[in-house]
Amino acid sequence: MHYPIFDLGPMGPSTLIAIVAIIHVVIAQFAVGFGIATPWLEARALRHHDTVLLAFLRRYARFLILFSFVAGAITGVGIWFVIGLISPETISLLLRQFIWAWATEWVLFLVEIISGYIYYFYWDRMEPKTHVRIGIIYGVAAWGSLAVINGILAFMLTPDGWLITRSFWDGWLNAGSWPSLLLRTISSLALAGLFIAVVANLKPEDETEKRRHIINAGSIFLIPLALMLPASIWYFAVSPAPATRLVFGGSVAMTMFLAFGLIASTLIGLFAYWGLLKNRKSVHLETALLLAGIALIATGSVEYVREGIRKPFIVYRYMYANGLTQAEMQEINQSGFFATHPVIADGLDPAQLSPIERGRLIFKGECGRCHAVDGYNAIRPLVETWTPEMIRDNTRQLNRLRGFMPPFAGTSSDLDDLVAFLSTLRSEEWSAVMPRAEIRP
Amino acid sequence: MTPPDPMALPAPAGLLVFLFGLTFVLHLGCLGLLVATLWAKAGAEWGRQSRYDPERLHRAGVMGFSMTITAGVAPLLFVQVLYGKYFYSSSITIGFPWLAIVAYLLVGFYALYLSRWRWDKADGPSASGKALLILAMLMVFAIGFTYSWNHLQSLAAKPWAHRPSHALAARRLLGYGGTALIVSGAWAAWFGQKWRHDGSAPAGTKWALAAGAVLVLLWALISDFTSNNWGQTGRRLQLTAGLLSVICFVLLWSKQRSSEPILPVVQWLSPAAALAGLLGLVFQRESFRLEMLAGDYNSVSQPVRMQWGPFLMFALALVIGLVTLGWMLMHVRRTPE
Repeated sequence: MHYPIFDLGPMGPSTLIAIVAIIHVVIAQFAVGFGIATPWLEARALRHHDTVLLAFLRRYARFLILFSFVAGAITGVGIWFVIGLISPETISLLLRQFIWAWATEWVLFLVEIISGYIYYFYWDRMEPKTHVRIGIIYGVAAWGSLAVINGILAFMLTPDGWLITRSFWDGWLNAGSWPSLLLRTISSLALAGLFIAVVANLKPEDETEKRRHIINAGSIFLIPLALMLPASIWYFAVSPAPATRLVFGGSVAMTMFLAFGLIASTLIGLFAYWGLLKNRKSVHLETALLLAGIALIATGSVEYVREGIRKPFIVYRYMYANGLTQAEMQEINQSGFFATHPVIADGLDPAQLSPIERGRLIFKGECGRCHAVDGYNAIRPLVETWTPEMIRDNTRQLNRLRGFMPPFAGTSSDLDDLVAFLSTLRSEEWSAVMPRAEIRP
Repeated sequence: MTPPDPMALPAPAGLLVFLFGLTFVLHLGCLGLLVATLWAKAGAEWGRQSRYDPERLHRAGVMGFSMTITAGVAPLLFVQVLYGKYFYSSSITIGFPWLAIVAYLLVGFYALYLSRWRWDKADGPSASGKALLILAMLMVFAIGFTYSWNHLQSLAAKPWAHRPSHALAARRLLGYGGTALIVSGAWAAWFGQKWRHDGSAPAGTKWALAAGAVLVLLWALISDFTSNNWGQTGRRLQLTAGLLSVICFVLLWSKQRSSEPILPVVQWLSPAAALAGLLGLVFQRESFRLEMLAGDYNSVSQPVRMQWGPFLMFALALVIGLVTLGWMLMHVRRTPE
C-alpha cells in the first residue's frame, strides 16, 4: 500500500514477469554452464591436441558475447525493473535484507564479464595455459554469482529461521538453497551441452565426423540431467508442506508442469548417455534445436512451479503475493483499508467516493498485483456468473476456498465496497443462458 | 517477542552513500568510454579516413556497453536501499517509458555490434553502418534521458504527484551531457596515446573536451547546487572540471595539428578533469536530493541494523575480485598485439 500500482492492462503483471524471468533464467544459466564446460573442454582439447574441438570452442565462445553477456545482463536488469514496478515491497525487502549478498554478486558479475571478454578476445593470442585459467576464473565467477542469487531466491520459499531471527545467514543459507543450487547447476550444464549440439550444427561445411566428435564431447554435460529427479525430491522434502501438497496433486497445473519438467530432463539425460556418449551417435540441427527447445520449456516449467508453490505468499509466511505483510494485514483488518492511507487513494476522500469507486481502489490495492479486470488472469471471468452474495461469501473466505489466494484484508465495510465493484463485472448474459437451478423439496 | 524490523538499513547511511558514489563514478566512467567509441566510430563513418584500428574500437565499444550496464547495477542497488520509497514510486509513475530501457539496451548493443559487421562487409563506411550507429547513439541518449527523468521524478515526497519542470530537466541533461563529453574526451586522449603509432590526439578529442567544458561550466553557473557544503563542493569540482578541460582544449588547439603526438600534460589533465566532473556530479546530485527530500526523509536518521558478517563477505569478495582482475589485466598487457 506504500506504492502506486503499475497498471499493465489486459497483459497482467504475472505475464510480464514470467516472460522476462524465464528468458533471463535460461540465458543466465547457459552462461554459467558455458563457464564450466568451455574451459574444461579447452583443457582437454589442448591435452589431446584436438584442433577440431579447439576451433569449435572458439566459435562457441562468440555466443557467450552475443547471446549470454548482452541478453543475459539486460534481461537481468529487466527482471529488476519489472519486479520494482510490479512488486516493489518484495524487491525492497530482498535488497535491504540481502544487500551485501547482492553486492557480492555484483563483484562476481564484474569479474565474470571482464574475464569472459578477455577469454573471447584473446583466444589464440595468450599462452594456452593462461587462457584456460582465465576461462576457469570466468566459470568460478559465473557459478558463484548463481550461488549467491540462488540463496536469495530460495529464501522466498524457505525463509526458515529468518522468520524468528531476521538474521542474514538464516535467510540466505536456508534449507532450500542447497537442493535448489544443485538443480540450477544441473540445468546450467545441460543448457551448455545442448547449445554445443546446436552450434556444432550451424556450420554446414563441417564434416559429419567433426560434428559428431564435438557433439559427443559436449554431451557429457547432459548426463547430470539424470540427477534431476533425486535433486527435486530433496528440494520438495525441505519445502513447506502446503507448497509440496500443491505440487503433488493440490494443483493440477503445478503437477503437470513439474512432471513435464522432470520427465523431459531425465529423458534428455538418458538420451545423452545411451545415444551420444555410449553409442557415439550424432544429432543434426533440427534434432539439436528440438532438444534445446524441450529443455527451454522444461526449465520454464520448473520455474513456473517454483514461483507457483509459494502462493499465497511471495516470501513464505511473511509477505503475501499482494505485497502485504501479515502485520499489515492485521492493521487493515482492524482499521480499514483507507485508514492505512494507501498511495493509490492519495488525495482522495474515501467518504466522498461511491462504494463502487472505493471497491475499485481496494481491488487495485489488494488484487491488482496478480489480477487484471480483463485479459490474463482476469477477474471478470471468475465472478461474472456469481451473485453478489456468492462474491461476498467467497471473498470473505478466499484463503480457505483457494489455498493459494491471500486472505481478504479489510473491515466488513471494505468488503461491501469490494463486492459492489466486483458485482459490476457480472454478466447479465449468463443469467439469461443459465436459468436458476430448481430446488425441489 | 516482536522480531527486529527487516526493513532497517543494513549499514550506516554514510557507508551506503559512499558506495553509491563510488560505483556511480565507475558507471559513468564506463559510459564515457562508450560515448568516446561512439563519436570515434562516427568520425570513421563520416570522416575521410579513420585513424583508429576498427577492431580495437569495436572491442572498446562492446566492452564499454557491457561494462556500463554491469557497473550500473551497483549504484542502482544502493539507491534502492537508501531511497527505495522514492525510487520505486517514481519508476511506477513513469511506467512503460521506464521499462522501455530494457528494449533500448538490447537495440543499442546489437546496433553497435552490427555496425562493426557492416563495416567489415562494406570494407569501410556504408549507409546501413551509419544508420546503425545513429540508432545506437539514439538508444544511449534515450537511456540517459529516462534515467534522468526517473531521478528528477523521485525528488519529491510524493513522486506520483510530482511533475519535474522542463527547466530542471534541461539543466540535468546539461550536467550529464557535459560530464559525459569530458570523460569521453579523456578516454579518447588515452586511446590516442596507447593505440596510435604516432601517439597523436584523435580528431574530435579537443572538441569533445571543449563542448563538455562549455556545458559543465554553464551548468555550474546556472544550476541550483544548494547551499549546503556538499553542494558547494560539487560546484567547485564542476568548475575545476570545466577549467581543466578548457586548458586541455587550448593546449591541443595550440598544437594545431591533431596528428602530432599528444602532450603528456593533456594525457593526465584530461582524466583529472573527468574525475573532477564525475565527483562534482555525484556531490551535486546527492546534495540536491537531500535538500529536496528534507522534511520527509533523512537517510542518516533511519534505523540501522549493521550486518557485519555479510559486509565482510562482500569486502573479501571485492578484494579477491580486484586482485583477480589485476592478475588478468597484467596478462592482457603482456600479450603481444
